[in-house]
Amino acid sequence: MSQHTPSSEERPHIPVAGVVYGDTIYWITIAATVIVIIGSVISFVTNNTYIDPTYMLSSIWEGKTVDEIWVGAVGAAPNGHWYLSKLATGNGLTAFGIALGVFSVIPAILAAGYVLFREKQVLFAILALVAALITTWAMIA
Amino acid sequence: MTDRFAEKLGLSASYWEESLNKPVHYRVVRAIPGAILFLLVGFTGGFFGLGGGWAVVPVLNLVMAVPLKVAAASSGVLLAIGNAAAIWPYIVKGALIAIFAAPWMIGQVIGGILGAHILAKVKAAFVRNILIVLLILTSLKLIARGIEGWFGIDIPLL
Repeated sequence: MSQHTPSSEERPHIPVAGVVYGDTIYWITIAATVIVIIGSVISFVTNNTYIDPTYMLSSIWEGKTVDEIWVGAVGAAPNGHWYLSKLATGNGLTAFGIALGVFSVIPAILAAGYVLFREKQVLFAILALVAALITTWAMIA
Repeated sequence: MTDRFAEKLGLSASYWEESLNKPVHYRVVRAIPGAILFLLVGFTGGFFGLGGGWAVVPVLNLVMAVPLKVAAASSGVLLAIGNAAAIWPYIVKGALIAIFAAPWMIGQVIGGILGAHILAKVKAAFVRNILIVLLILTSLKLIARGIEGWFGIDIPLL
């Protein structure tokens, strides 16, 4: 291993791109977690749910497929970001929180890529952009 | 040759080691073999559905000479990016069951924050020992899964 004792004992400079990436993901994920907690509470405490949690759990234990569960609950399986139109319900809000947590990677990579580009690390900035594009494509495709 | 490639990419850095109270400088080596191994890790993850988390840290640490703590932190970043792209099809098809995923997400976030703070403070040797135990357990689980699939038997292993 090429690890060795440094001559300088000063604290190394933390790469700004790493800090930007970490901070962006950190705060969006915490916001998403709070939304997920609120959504879960609404799902279980109130009747304001898109799909009844009891029906969902019993269907899973019965071994039904995802499509069968959705068809049985709301008549059709979703194909897209269904939760965006159901934010007032517990399930919708919980799913939105999870999606927001997953989404946090995209702005974080783009922000880090921008910083890398400003620091003239063009190769890594392009790689960050490619990673963000692949993730965005997976989200909208 | 490969080290020259890593040098060209500027893959050397430093971090402050809390447990030693001094900075550690490191230089990444064998970038090309590392990239090939990551390709294999991604392929096995996608083909067998095993997930690549178990292999990222060893590749970074043992092959590319990245210090263990940096490898552990970097693997989190790599897995987050890879998994974020892979999880969207499940979300849009309604296959991500919110009532199951919610407790996992809350636990993952709280555990992740605690783990990251602890990782920064403990000695690298301690992290290495835990990692060895986890890798052995993961290997046993994967071998058991393979035997189950091959012989059609059920091995009661976690």
